Amino acid sequence: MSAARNGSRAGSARAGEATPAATRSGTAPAGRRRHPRAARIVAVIVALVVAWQFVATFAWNSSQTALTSLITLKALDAYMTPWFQQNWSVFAPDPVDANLSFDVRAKVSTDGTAHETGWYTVTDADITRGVLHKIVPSRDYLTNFQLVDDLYTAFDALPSSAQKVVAAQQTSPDWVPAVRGALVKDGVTTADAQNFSRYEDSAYRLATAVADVRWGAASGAADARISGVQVRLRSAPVRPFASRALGPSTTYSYFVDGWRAPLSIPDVNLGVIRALYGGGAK
Amino acid sequence: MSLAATGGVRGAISDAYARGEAWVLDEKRATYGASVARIVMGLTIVAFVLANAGVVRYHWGDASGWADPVRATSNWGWPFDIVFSHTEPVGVFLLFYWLLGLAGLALAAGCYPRIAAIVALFLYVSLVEGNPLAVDQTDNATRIILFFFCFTDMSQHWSVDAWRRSRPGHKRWRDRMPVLERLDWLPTILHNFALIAVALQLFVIYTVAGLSKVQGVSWQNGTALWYPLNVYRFEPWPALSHLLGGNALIVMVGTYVAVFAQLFFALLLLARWTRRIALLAVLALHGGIAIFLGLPLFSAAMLAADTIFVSSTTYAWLEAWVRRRVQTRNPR
Repeated sequence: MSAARNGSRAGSARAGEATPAATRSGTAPAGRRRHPRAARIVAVIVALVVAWQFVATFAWNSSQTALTSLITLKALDAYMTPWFQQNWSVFAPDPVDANLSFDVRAKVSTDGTAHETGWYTVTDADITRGVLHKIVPSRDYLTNFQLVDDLYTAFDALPSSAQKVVAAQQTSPDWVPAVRGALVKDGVTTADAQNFSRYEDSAYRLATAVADVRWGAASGAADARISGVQVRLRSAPVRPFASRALGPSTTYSYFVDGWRAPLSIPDVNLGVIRALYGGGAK
Repeated sequence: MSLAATGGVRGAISDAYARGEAWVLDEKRATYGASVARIVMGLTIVAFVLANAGVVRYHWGDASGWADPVRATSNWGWPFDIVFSHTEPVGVFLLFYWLLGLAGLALAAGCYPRIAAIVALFLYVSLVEGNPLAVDQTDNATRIILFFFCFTDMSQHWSVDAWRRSRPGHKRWRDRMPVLERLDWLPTILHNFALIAVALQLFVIYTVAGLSKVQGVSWQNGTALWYPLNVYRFEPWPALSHLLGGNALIVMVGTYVAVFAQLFFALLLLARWTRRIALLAVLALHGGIAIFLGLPLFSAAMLAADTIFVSSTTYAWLEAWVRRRVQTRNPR
């Protein structure tokens, strides 16, 4: 196909050289007009679309520059999201420099006797299963770490007085709106309270599922009952390059959320959770 | 056509316009690059499906209901909620999941690649955006780059479609519709502008990534590489990471190569010999990210796009070289 087209193109170009310019319509220089007028018009239109795409992408990516004020931000948003949304400040301005962990423990009652379990680190299982010695790691490198990051950030945004509210124990199964309400009453903005509540809710749904498959009825111990779960987030900074000779850092900062009643999780298949985080999981 | 002959600035502008128009209209450009991009993108999707087969139900499927409160923040929605849902029967969910793998395979093989690309793109986006906690720049790169390639002709080389067309007696469906034959400039325009769109998107990615890095102290003092090499979730090969991180020279060179390769990518493409430096530098960058940081799918999506900057001459030379080797090994 391409050989035939190339041939005819070369032929018409030669014919163009021989034809007097006067026989052509339009103002283009002689020897250039051999594409249909429709093609030339469409080319200009598509060029404008691509140019706009570039300007919009550039403006979107330089949100703090003068350029963005030239374009209405709302219009830019409407065009760029969700399809073209992007953020290329990856590993920047400074790269990720901390190991985040998601820990869960539970209060378990068996035959009327209650006991507290030790901490189980969900994210360690993710690294062992999905990242370690994998040529193509699975999404395990991302999802739970993103949850830790987002919940930690939401917690840090709370004023210190509100952090006492968060640490308090909640025994009612309907505790999510209760904590959110208590945060607002404490002076936290509705947006910040909602944001924290959203990630805390997800974290405790996950914690409930993990606790159930490790220590509760879903672990195989039919008479075991989870009466409370607790989440802890840890952030262990990588030792600065200059002091790398001291070996891996042993200190970490952490955030211990309060004891909470387990949540209802109808849309979490516990068989899958058991295979990934249960006692028998790798 | 010289400047004097056409008259000064006006002539120069109209000359440049004519050259640009010819570039866009004369023929499809970088057809080898688009074909290689197709193969890399297809294999990327296949690798994604295989790597996540054991955990897809946790991240997006019937065990991902724990993420429901966060799902409320998603700005996606229709039509990307049609095929994948964590509340649908898991059999249906997995059927579409494996269909995504199949679409990736068809794309890599070049079997109806445009259809395969559109199906793969729709399924991929529908799947990953189903959980806002499970998406990162890998997905943005894959989505945007594959979207632009949907407008290109990816089938001209090294594809099942090209092989099918080369067989005697093959009749293209287009030949039966003379109307479409007369519109054959349209695919050419879309192909060439899609390549330009890919190029411009890459310039934004690399330049923004480079500029945001030079603002960081650790990239300035040449130690940035050390940190991700010590973050376990970016460490598939800890022994290798420690070997690299333990060498101050490697850390410094790696850090600066990463910054300079990105910052100067677009400019280095301007001249032929610097273009080679640019391409080798980003190849090294993405190779490093793939192996040492455990992000091979991000690297592959980016490299798929970078393939359009390798000239068809180079690909044709490579093709001839491989063909010669195969023929000397299997003489007829």
